[in-house]
Amino acid sequence: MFKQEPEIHVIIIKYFKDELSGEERTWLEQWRHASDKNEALFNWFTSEEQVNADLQRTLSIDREAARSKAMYELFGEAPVVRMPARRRWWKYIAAAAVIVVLLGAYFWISNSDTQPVVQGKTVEPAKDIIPGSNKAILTLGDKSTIVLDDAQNGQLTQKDGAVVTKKNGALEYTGAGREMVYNILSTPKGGQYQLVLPDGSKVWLNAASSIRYPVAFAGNERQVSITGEVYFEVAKDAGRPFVVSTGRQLIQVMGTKFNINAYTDEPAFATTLLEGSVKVGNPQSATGKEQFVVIKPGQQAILSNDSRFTIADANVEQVMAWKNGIFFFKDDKLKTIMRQIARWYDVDVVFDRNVKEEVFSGKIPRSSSFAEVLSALSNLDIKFEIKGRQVIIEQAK
Amino acid sequence: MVINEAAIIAGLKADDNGVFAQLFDMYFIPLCYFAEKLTSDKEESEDIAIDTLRKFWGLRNNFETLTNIKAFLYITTRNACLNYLQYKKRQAERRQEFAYININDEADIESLKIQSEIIGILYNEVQRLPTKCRNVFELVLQGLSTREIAQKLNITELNVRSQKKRAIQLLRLIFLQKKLLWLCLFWVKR
Repeated sequence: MFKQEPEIHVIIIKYFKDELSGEERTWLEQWRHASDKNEALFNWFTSEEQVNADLQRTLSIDREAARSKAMYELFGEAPVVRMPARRRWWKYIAAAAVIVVLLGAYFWISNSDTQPVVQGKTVEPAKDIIPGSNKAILTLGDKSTIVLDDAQNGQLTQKDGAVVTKKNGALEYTGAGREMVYNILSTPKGGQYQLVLPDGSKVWLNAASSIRYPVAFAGNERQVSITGEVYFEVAKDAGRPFVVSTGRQLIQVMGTKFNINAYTDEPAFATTLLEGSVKVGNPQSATGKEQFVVIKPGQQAILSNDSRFTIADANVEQVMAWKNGIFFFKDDKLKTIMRQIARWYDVDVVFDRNVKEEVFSGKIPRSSSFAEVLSALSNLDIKFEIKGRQVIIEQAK
Repeated sequence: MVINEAAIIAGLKADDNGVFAQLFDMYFIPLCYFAEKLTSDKEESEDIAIDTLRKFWGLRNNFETLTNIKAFLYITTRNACLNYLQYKKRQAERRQEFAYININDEADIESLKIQSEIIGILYNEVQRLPTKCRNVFELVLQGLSTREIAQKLNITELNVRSQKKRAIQLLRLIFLQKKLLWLCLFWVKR
């Protein structure tokens, strides 16, 4: 054991530079398992989008100017400028910022959601309202279903030629399946799941979502269809474009990362691109002709109810927050916020008509207990009443 | 950066301004980040951080270790944030925010402290990149394309690409060689 406990932030940075000693590695594992908050912190650091956003914002701070100002105010003189030691003799140059960009698919390391620690708050609403977890239902080609929860890992089935393995909230397809047999993976309210398709593409399903896909991709296109909210990391395959159908739109990609939000109870479908390129099309546009738009990384294609596309810049951190285990609200209406809460906690939300239309901002971890969510929202001028699985929202005084 | 704790403590007792500058550089950024996560107000967080460091200087004779100093800095910052949040609450604000990080939750605060230290380290390492490399790199983080960066910095696209490659070369390999190469190609293509 260590004589002196190492500082965890140093260990984490060493981890990403691959400089950990065996002892340190063990220590890190123990620390991660010691609490949910520790694990959440580790996951924050492995989330590209979040660290990118935080680092960007921080880099805009002018430390030199602030220091000069502070020193002038304290010592009333021109500051003693310490020249940073020149890099010539410095052995440890590390472009840490590149770490952030390189932090790629760590999703195999991230664990499934575990029960959150209730912080001993005085508010104790319905104790059976818990946050979502890895839950899904797999429907096979012959319409039989398998319920997936965290119970057992291992090989699930070998039907239709495909080998399906389940591991910690993710399903993986290997082996040569028989083409034209379709499986459906769907999550209930309060569920989420991950999937690796037969071509190696990775899929993350949010609550109340589904994906229909063949057990083997045949032909010159890889086609799947989805409902709800799904994030993809598509494996490159130049010869076979990957096409996603949401019912009202078709998204065609070539090896790339993007998020589709196609909940039918939201005002619009939004497809956000992180990397690569996609073409989003509307086969049933009002004019009868197919229309499509091409978006660049960082952009969003929005399909409104009147079947028109607009392109906007996306707040990637906000779009990807669900996958990173966070609710991220920015100037969002309370109704929008509560729709997301309802899907994750599997509750029904009813608004009293006196509730004012206001916008709110903030972030809450998705692992929070329902009590913690209500506590976080307690700063707002609203009251909650809970009856079983129904949450009634009224305007506070 | 080699930190000589004994020299720092001695310097404080000797009223050495240079030590203030050194500690400022060590803690200003993590404290700004810490305060900003608690208050959601970037400008205020910078003011709080400077203020905290000033208060520290006023009490400089009372510290025997860096650990003491660090603890003081974070506690003082946290209290300042608490005061600020209470002040904001008393003002009727149309745009309301709710707390992601519960300022009264010790575990949340601990996590945030660690995050702040990590951000501080990343900030330092970016600052230490060779100037041009860093300029290009910060723009890459912002999502600009090679062409946009070339235009903005008034250099050639070839130059931009070589700076990107340089940043990668300065990097310790974290992932498999394969992945690094793919990313190399990906960047060069953009």
